[in-house]
Amino acid sequence: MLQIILPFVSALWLGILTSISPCPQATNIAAVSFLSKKINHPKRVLQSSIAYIVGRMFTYVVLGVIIITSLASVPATANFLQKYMNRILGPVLLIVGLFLLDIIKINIPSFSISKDRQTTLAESGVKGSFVLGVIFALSFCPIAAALFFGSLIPLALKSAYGIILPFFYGAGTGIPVVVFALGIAMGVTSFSKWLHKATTFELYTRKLTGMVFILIGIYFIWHHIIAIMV
Amino acid sequence: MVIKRFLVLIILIVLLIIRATMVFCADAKTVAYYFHGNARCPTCHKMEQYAKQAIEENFKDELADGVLVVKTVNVEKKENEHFVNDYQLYTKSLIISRVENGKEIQHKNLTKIWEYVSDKKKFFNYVTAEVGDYLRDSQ
Repeated sequence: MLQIILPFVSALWLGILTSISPCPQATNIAAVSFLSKKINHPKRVLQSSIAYIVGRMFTYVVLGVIIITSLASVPATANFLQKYMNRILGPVLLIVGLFLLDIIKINIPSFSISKDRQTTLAESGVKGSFVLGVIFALSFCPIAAALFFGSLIPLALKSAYGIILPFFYGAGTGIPVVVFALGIAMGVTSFSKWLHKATTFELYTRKLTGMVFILIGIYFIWHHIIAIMV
Repeated sequence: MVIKRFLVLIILIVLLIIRATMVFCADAKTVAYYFHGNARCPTCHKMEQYAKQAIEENFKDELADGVLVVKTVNVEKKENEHFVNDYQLYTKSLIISRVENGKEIQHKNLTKIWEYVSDKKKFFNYVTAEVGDYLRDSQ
């Protein structure tokens, strides 16, 4: 029995280890601020958090399948993702940040998006969080690559349930972020109830998330694009 | 007196020649590679520094004799890209390689550097033990 459970627990623990290590903290901060945007609605924060975890799980499962079925080699996949995803991530975060601050608006005639729709996208609970989970999971930093490609994949290749292990790894990488997001939302909800000002904080959270995204976007652009060229 | 000094000098020269010949004839060396990419993270710098320091502190003679060599390689440079496939690299890595007569006999990826990077003593012990094993095998 223990032998069956052990790989799943190991996969979950590897995921948690990945998430609490220093290198993914920039994206973790962005994720916590995005997930806890609806800070006075813990239920919506919970829905977004689940979507974020599912997004991460989706990425790792797809990558796991690609590698386990030998469609792509570990070095090729790992190096491609580390080299290019982190370069893409900076501009993406910057654009989303500007969008959250209403500095830029999607207003292309052929893709006419109504104002309501724009607001929905910016407020985007479930869909936005899922996409965020997918993108952040694809942006492998060195420790994430070491633990996913170097520890989880060998474990999955040895296990009879190998294909399921990336699910648990994905859940593990999302859990610490979700715990923080939910903790903040519940804490603030209790605090604002105590203050009898139910919606005050929520007015600022979108702007704050936008600023966090811009700062982290600039950090990624500097570290993964400009610093390399200099 | 002069003959005595001359004899001592001759013995010293012979000993030096024997030592140099031993190193040359064996033509075996261990190479410790630290592989990185263009983007360097703080932990990656720390690992490179720890690895170099552990080797330099514990294998001074081997480094001086040339039986142990430390190299830092950027795999994103065109001429180094082959290392990714040669050693199946998926992140920043420390690889030890044993070379005999110009050919690599075996290599090992020291994957636990990621596990021990937060504990300098464990990291040093791990790298020293692994490099030491390779050096013993080469003799």
